[in-house]
Amino acid sequence: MSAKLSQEHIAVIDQYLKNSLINYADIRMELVDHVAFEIEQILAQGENRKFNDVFKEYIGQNRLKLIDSNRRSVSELTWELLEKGLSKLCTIPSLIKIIVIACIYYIFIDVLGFLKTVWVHVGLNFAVILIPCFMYAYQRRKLRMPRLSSVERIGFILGLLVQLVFLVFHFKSLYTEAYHLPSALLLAVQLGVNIGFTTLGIEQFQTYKSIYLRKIS
Amino acid sequence: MSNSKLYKGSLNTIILKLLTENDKMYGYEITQKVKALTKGELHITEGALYPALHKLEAEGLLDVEIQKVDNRLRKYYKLTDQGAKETVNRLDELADYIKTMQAFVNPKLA
Repeated sequence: MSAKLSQEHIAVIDQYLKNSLINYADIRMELVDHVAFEIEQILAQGENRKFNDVFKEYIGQNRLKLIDSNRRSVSELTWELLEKGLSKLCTIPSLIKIIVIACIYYIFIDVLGFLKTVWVHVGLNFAVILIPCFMYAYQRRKLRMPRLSSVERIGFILGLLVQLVFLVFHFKSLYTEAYHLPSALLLAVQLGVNIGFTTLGIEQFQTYKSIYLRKIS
Repeated sequence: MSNSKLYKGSLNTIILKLLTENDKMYGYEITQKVKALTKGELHITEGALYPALHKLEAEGLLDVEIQKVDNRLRKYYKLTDQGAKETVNRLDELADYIKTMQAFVNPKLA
């Protein structure tokens, strides 16, 4: 005997999981399907049981497992993206870009001095990181897009990298003519890392757009 | 599952192997298939399965496809070319591991 859940039942499961802080639509979608299957199996056994009763019972027994699945998925994904982003930076084209940026910074430090170059660096980093973040927030609001795990986890990684930008200021007191080249290299690596992760975030968003968004929204 | 720790390290290989035999599969289908193949001995929980699938997807070993089925969205997984190659490597590694363990457990058979 088959017992298929209605659209309303699916919405109840989805909302419950959303309220249980399973925030990312792409991860939640899969758990909704899983829970729906399990409930359908129980309902198919007959006994005239109602959806609400079975759902409550199922959630009572499995809520923690579902939350744990979400937590582990998010954590695995974050590490995987961090590894992916860093390994992309270790490619020859990325290293060449970083060397070119370092040369430009070297000239800037020479012409503008270290402090002004750092301000240019901070401005560039904020532009590289914050413009895509604002665009994502804008698109989410305007297109009523759900939250997407990979894109937001890269945002989280970039959020941490922004903090590192401020650390650069600690180096300014150490700066002397002797540290000219290492300073340029340090700034270049930082900008290169931020550009690399932002690009990865945009790539992830494009992937989601083609695979998920048309289906989710 | 009789001893989940013993199976834990092989979960990704089990998923990849199942996907070589089936064009595409979704999460719940994988749990049921594993349960059936192992006669209920191995029960993969959602807490272990989905993080493993997401990891394999992020590694580029799995491709995904979304379909609307029974009033909800279903995420299907299939192997990428890289995933197909990696499956062969991981199955070889698993076979070597089983052989090594056999030498400990039952030296006569090894």
